[in-house]
Amino acid sequence: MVKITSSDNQEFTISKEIANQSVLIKNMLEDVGESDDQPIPLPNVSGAILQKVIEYATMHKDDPPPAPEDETKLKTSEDIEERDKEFMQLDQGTMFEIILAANYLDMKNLLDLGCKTVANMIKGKSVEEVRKLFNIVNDFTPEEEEQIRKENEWCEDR
Amino acid sequence: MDSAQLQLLQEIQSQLSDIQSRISAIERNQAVLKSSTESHFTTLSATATAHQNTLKSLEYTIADIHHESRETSARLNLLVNGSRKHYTRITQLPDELIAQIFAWINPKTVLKYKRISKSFRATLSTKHFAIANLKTFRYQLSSCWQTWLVWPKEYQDEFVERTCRFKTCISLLRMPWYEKPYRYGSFPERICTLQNLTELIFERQRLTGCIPPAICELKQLHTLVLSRNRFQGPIPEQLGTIPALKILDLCYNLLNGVIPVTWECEFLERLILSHNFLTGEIPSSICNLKHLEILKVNSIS
Repeated sequence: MVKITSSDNQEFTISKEIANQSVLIKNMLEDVGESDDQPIPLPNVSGAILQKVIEYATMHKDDPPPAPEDETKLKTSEDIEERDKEFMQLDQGTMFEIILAANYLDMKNLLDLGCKTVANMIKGKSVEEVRKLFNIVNDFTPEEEEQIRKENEWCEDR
Repeated sequence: MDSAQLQLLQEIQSQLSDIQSRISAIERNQAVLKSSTESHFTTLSATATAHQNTLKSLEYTIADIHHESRETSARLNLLVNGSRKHYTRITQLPDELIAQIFAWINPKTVLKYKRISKSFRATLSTKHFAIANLKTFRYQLSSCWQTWLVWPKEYQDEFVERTCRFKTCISLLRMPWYEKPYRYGSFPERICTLQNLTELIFERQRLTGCIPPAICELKQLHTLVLSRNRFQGPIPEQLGTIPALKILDLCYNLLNGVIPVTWECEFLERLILSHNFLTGEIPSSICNLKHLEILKVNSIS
């Protein structure tokens, strides 16, 4: 078993196979050795997010090891497992925090899942809709915006 | 034996019997003591076992309590965490992650999101993003060449690089004919590194500048159509040395200078150079082209 503590000092005890899904923790465990019973501090992840991350890792602990990247396989953001889709039904804030945590913990599958999910939210939407969806302020002057619109006219109408 | 001696003997005898009786008394006492010690020992060890059992059960209870408290705190965390709100916004993600998100959107449409805000424009304009985006969509790239000419430079470069690296044979680079071309620009020289290119058709793309001499490096090229653009300057001298060339159409440009002298492409069927500002004579080497069917070189001044 491995102990980890979140930024807000919540302690979680997880099995090694779950811990090893994070390359960061895996490397740390290899560095400190087996015998050390000290919990591993994860100062960049809050307890609430760590809990979601552990939930994901637990769900995927029996996954076969990833196949070497198949050069001929088509990659698409629509390609998400049903249980992962359900897992990502979260508010935007939690979703972005999970993406940040997955990036920090070096969990490629979770990071991909997060990025794909957000990409799917953006796909097919107009620029205005995306601004509204994520509450982004348009900091261009109308002239600047028109200039960019012209430059990218070829992809605007698709 | 006198009476005195007899008396002494009697005394010794009586003392002896006394000692004997004392010894037997001591022996009796010893036996009693032994049995009582044994019984005490049994009682004591029974008590010790009992105490040990109590201790063990206490230990279990303590472990139980620990476990319970951990469970409770986990459940408490669950409750607290579940109700916790997160206010992180997409704009707080580092550029690298924004790029990773948008890399999942098709290169044909993704660049319109440069208009979202200044920081998004910056992220989506980097070479790093172009690489990530094209990497994700590498196997749909064959449908991407349609937009190649209007892509920003970092996309064009990366596309050509990927194509070279993976030795994908692009036999055709035909840009769609737009009623209203979107961009004026020079001939994208990077194309000249696509060694396997057999067909290059850039018609009516409003391309400007010179036709780069490096185009002669495309040794597999059999069709080269650059008609109806705004190319200036001379026709590259080595153009007639592309061995496989069958169709060469450069009409309706602003090309000037003389027609190159060397024509060694023995399979050339169509040579169309009309509607330019070419000067001089038609070189005699053209007459040696056995397969030539169409030759248009009018409007020579």
